[in-house]
Amino acid sequence: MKKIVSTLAAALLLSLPIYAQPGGIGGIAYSTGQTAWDTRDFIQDYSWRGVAVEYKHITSQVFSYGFQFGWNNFGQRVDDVVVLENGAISGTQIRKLGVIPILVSLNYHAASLYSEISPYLTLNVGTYYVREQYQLGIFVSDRRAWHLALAPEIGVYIPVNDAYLQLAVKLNHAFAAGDYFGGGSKEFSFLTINIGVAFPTF
Amino acid sequence: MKNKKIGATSMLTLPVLALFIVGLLTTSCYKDYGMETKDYDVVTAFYDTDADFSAYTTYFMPDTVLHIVKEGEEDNITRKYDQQILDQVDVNMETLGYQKITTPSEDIKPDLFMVILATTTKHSYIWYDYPWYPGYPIYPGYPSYPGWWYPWYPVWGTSSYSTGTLVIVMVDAKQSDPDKEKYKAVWSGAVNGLLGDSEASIRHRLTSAINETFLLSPYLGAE
Repeated sequence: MKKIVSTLAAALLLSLPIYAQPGGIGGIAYSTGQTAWDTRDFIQDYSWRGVAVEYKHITSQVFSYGFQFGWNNFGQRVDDVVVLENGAISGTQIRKLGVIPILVSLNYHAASLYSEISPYLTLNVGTYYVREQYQLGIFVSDRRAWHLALAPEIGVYIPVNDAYLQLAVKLNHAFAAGDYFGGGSKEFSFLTINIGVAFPTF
Repeated sequence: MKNKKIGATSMLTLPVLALFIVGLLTTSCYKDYGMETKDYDVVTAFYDTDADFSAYTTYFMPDTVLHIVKEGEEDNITRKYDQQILDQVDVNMETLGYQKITTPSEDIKPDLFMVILATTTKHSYIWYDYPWYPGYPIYPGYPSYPGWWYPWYPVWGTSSYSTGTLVIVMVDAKQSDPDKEKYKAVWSGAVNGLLGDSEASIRHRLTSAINETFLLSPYLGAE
């Protein structure tokens, strides 16, 4: 069994074309997002405001490493009444969440960048700077903190003339940290869908 | 698989794609939440969970709105809305089935005392910003200084706004002892909002907000 697996793995690796010269690929993308899990309790609206910048340095036939940073902004107006144990509060709430991801990435390329379509898998690790704003009337709570983060990603590069169209989906998770509105640390999760343009350096 | 050579930058595709990305980014930067002056109003209502509001049937309310002013400061709070406030509280109390006693005495004692308080706060802040100026032009024989730079002279400004707070307190007369200055509050409603609006708008917002304090309190009622 071991011999079969190692033979297949070698055949897969050797079947991929070797890049003509070292280099990488970098790009900028428009990033949209949807909050997930507990973060969705705070903001439900889809975000159409975000940007992502990245660079991947190609080291072998299938692997590359690089970095990513960007910005995603979520916001929502809520006009519901807040019911408490001994009363209630009525007022317009403005809820905002701003996230700046700063990540290093390890990428697996399932097909060559010379292919008609080049899918990849990425594991991003790094830190997120999160700013949470909660406004009720003229009263504003503004809390910020740095979080450790993990963000697996799946995407594709599609060649368009001499550049690439990049499509990617990433699950972002910032581990609990900080002291946020309502007391205590919080974790944040959201899914991003990016569409961008990438430029090769090889 | 046929290798595709990546060559020189395309004259059309890259700029078009980049422009598309930049366009999407710039148009999505700012989100307008549609806030108007009335959207900054906050209304609250809190109550004593042990109180039995159906046991109260009568109330007394002074014909004055008390003003809370910092010690040493002059009372500049306008009184032109006082009667409207008192009338609106009366309308809501009577709708809930409470009967107003206009002249309390030893024989006719109300179950509840209604007290209305008002205060204003002025919020001031200083802002500054660094404006951007274009670079120097090119003179023959001298190097050019292209691009944008900012001077070391920031632009300063001040801004302020005032807010008003109205508090309606319901005191249980039987559980209070005025001689010892001990009062048992069983309910309070509060309204906070921006001033600096037109008189007509403030009057409309006051009526809505006072009604809202009672709407937030379904446990109130003499029946």
